Amino acid sequence: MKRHLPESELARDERFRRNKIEDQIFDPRNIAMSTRDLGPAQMAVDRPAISERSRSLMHGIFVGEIQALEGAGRTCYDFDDADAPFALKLDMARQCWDESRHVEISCKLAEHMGSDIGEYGESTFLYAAACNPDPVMRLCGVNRALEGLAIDVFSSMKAFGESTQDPILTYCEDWMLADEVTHVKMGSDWLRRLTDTDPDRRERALEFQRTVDKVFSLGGFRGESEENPIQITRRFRELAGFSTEECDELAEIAAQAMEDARTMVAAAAAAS
Amino acid sequence: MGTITVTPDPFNLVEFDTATIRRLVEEIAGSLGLPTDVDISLTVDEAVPHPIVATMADVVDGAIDLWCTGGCFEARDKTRAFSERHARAEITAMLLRTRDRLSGGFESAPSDAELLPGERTAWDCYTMGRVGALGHNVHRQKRRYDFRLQHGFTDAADAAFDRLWATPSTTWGAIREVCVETGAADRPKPKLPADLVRRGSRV
Amino acid sequence: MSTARAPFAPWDRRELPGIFGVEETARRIGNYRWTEMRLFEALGGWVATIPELDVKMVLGRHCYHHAWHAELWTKRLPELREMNVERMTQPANDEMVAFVKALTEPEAPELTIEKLVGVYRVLIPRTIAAYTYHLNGTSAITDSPTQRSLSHALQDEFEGWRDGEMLLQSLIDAPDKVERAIRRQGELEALITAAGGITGPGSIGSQPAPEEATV
Repeated sequence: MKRHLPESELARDERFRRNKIEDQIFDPRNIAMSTRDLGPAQMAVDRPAISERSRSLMHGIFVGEIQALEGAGRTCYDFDDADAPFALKLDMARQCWDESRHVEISCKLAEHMGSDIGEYGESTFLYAAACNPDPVMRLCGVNRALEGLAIDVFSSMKAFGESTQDPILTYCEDWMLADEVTHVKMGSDWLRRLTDTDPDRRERALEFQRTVDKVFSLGGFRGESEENPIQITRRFRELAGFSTEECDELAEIAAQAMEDARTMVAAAAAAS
Repeated sequence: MGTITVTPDPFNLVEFDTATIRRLVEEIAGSLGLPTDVDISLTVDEAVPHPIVATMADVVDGAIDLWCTGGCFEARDKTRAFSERHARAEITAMLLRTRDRLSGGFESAPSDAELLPGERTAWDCYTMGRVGALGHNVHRQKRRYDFRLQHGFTDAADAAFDRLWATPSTTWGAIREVCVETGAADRPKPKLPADLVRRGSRV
Repeated sequence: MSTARAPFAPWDRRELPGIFGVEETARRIGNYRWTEMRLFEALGGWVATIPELDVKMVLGRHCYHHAWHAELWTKRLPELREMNVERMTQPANDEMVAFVKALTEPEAPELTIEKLVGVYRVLIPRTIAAYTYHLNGTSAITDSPTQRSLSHALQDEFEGWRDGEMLLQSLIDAPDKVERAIRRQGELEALITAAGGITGPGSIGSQPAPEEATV
């Protein structure tokens, strides 16, 4: 088995369909949708199409967990001890176990919410972040950026479960949230240890993390206002090792993304 | 003979075909025994993608007025593609509800824009049970989850869901009683209008 | 009358010595560590190459079990006067290296049977055998820490063996798949037999030479 398995070779059964990122970015409906008022984006029971939106989001979480499992597994295999010491791989193996459980939980949640495996398309950008040939970049892209996003998503979904008095959703999201705090902390700890004497490498890794953070804040997907479907969860991020300054920076990235989206809307409205 | 109109014609933002959808409406209306002298118009808001699925089915001045988001007919695994399977199920559901309005015990029901969420999901539950009985492969648990969101995750709500799903016939009054039974009638009025998505439509 | 009790309760039949000294114990544990590390790395790497969803999740869980076993051995080695853990973490011999290379060779998504047979019908049974021999032979007095780690590891190994075997039985549902499993097992058994097991010749002891007939 070779090292460094590309995204295109991820193995799936016939139920799964791959979304092409360009189909989403260049969807001609994006501009029309940007001018529509669909109410506050935050997950709430009176939000339009809330059932289908929550199912779609949960399926996105499900495929994300599969890719997180695969990414952690590849990090166990892709590197020699010199590049990734045993203790790091042990943490990655632990993450494999955790993500396996999350896939199982997501399957049970899909049954609870009434969706089928493969019902929605799969985007593979999480695994793409885990393909970086530098283990430090992988940790920043996956464990700090994407698992950090997972903290925000699970916290938002848990709040949704509480607001709808859904005991299953609330329970499941809370348990997954606990694990994700551990994963982010692993990323924070290893970033520090592996770049202790190499500040340039640390800065490159943090820049990669910021890039990933920005991608997942595009269009105002994440932020701290009710206009954002996913809320930045400062409390759990701090438990996971993010500093207040890092949380502030993420909030700025999110706010900038929202502003960029508004500018695009205004330009589109003027053009039409 | 009534006319059947589907808008837009043609579709520009998604890979839907107006003529195909018109044929489906005609076929399903006939199979449900809708009066042949009633005009039917279906507006598809093609700008709104899946997962934003919303439908409205009303009778206005004796004519059937249907509206839905493009997401209702969109393939779940291929962006902007048409799914005939989903379109058939959604069109069947919309026409069943208009048949309810015309002569099915729902003549006094308010318009879709005025329905409370609990009332709408209860009616949808009754409708989708019938869609399933007509041979469509309806995901019962999906509809149960939709119902639970508006009526509660309780034994009372599940029992009400099972009754509505299985019944071949009910009335608007019975729907309102279900909402009282589950507590949906006691929930605060939603802050957002039921037809929020349709209001923003430019079609 | 004295109330002093004997140091060993009547039911405590533990004896000295065990069959392994400190150096031999450290050598074997170094081999165990090397093997568990190669195994967890392979299981982790395979997850992305396997399309079957239930198999993915089982491998994700088992990946951690074997990594944890490697961690148990990481902690034990310095207690056996081996402060340089990496120095002792070695394959038993070149044949064992060849076995692991062959074990981890399958990559294509349609080779799930080959991947699982290598682990659950060849390597893990051999690991169970070596661990059991060690557990039974080492002193329960002087080497109880090793025994404790072996017991914990064996519990995982037995359960993992069962999980993997059940997956295989559910996947091997046609004669051509039976052939594939048999062929794969044969290839790998030949290699691990040449190695003598995961700690080389003597992994599970050896049969004594026949005794000369007496009169």
